[in-house]
Amino acid sequence: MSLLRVQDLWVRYRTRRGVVEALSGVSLSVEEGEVLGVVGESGSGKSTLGLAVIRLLPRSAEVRGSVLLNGKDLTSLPEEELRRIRGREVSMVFQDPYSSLNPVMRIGDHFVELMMEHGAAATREEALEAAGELLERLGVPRERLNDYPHQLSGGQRQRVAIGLALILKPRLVIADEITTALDALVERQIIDLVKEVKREYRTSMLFITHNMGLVAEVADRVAVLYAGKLAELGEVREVVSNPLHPYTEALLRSVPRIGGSRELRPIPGEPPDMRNPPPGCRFHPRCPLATERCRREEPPLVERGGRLVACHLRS
Amino acid sequence: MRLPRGFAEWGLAVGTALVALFVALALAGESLVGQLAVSNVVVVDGRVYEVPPLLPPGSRLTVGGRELVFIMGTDQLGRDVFARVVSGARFVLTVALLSTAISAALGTILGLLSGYVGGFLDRVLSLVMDSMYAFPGLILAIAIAALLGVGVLNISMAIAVVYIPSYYRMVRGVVLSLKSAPFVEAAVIAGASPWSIVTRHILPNVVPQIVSLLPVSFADAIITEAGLTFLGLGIEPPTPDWGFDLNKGRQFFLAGYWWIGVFPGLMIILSVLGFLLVGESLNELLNPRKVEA
Repeated sequence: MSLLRVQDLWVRYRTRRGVVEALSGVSLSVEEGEVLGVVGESGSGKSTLGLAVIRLLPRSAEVRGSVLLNGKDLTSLPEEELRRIRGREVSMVFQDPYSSLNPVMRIGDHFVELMMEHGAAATREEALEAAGELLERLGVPRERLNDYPHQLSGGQRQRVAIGLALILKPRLVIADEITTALDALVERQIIDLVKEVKREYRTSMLFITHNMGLVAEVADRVAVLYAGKLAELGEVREVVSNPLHPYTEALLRSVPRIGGSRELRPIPGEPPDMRNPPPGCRFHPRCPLATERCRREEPPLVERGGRLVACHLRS
Repeated sequence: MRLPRGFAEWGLAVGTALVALFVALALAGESLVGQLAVSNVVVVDGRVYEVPPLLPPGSRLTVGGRELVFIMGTDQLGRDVFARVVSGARFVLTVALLSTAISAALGTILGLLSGYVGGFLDRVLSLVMDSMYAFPGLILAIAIAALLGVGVLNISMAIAVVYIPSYYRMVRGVVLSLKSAPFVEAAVIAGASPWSIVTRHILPNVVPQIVSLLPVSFADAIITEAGLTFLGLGIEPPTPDWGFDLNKGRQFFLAGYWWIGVFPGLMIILSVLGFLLVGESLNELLNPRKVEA
């Protein structure tokens, strides 16, 4: 049984200017100890996916489908039970380490509160001891426990945020664009840290990013989202070396590589307006290979050589 | 020690001095000036002397071989104006302190509740608070004070009700913006209970805003208290009180007995000035960005 199984998930936001469909029937799964990369542009629904899994969507969101964590459906779980699962079985690391820590609480107190709340530590000292040990393994000196968030650098804060996500040994960590707010050098360190965590803790992860290059490095499998739908899903190595969907190919070509001779090519056009997605294949207005069929008919998600792809030209 | 620099530092220095003076008066004033604040009789060596009314400031009076000086004169009943002015600090500051504490506490609790819970409760509370805010403060206080009657606690309650909406609106606004702050969402995701989210994550981040409102609303409370007692509400004579004495002095002012009203009036102005200076200059020193904007 998969650790996380998302089945036919639909998310709609009701806004003043109309209904926005952020996710349209997405199904995927994360196995024990596996890192699943989720890639896509802004507005592809990748962050909505992460928030839907941990059930943190705004009230205006309408959710259909199911999110099974260890067989328990998180979408219908009562609030009380959900609270016990959050933090202990599934946790999350956010994009912006500058605002995801409470400015008036010491780093140590973040850990103490979390551990005492979940009964993972009986005393303050016990919690601080465990937190210090974990932080040191994550490359943050133990003395930082006494500091306030503003005394730390962005990279250190993100390490602390990762520590907070790991301290209760959850089975699934959702990492939502965790390096986007950091500079390139720190990004590298954090990615190395994620790889190390993956090796040492065997934690399953939903690694959400817009950067195909990072996915290629940390993920085992990758799900490519476009306009709220799965475009392609498969083993990272295969997807990267031989993308089946034109969108995946375009994403790969838009990643810069130092010293690479390959031409950097941006994807033409813009992501569709999700209040009114295009008919047929949602990528057809930007697809260089689009045919008349793509404009009319929605391509089904089909298996092809051990992976899933939604494209008329490849099925 | 260096000299203060700029408006804010001077304001803080002067304000602190004034506030310290008035706090000292409130604590010790009554015992310093003795009985002459509330009666016109002096007892010297077992003999009772009556002080004549309406003595001008600086008058000297020799009773039983002892010289008394009335630097602010005596009022229409022969009581020492200086003694009344000094011991009047206690009543007004007690009322201001109590009412500020009550309104800050209630306003903060209601604001937290309204902002965090939202929905129907928020609608109802906001409607009630906005209606109160729209109502002229003093008139509302007069109505409540008239209803509750005399006494320190009653007049404090009357004033507190007027200032609850200020705290409520400010706290609610901050809570609404903090509710979607990433660190609060992080706490939700970490499985924190609503109680610990409100008390540990949101409340400590609201405290600076509450603190910066305190001195200003304290000064406001002094003015409102003076307004109420000026009208004779909430206080029982002969308790010394500036607002009450100001009104009595008003009746004698045109007849030439200016000192009865002017000195209590000055005390009201100076005490309000002191707290406002502290509040404003602290805001400016601690929150430089807010002033620039």
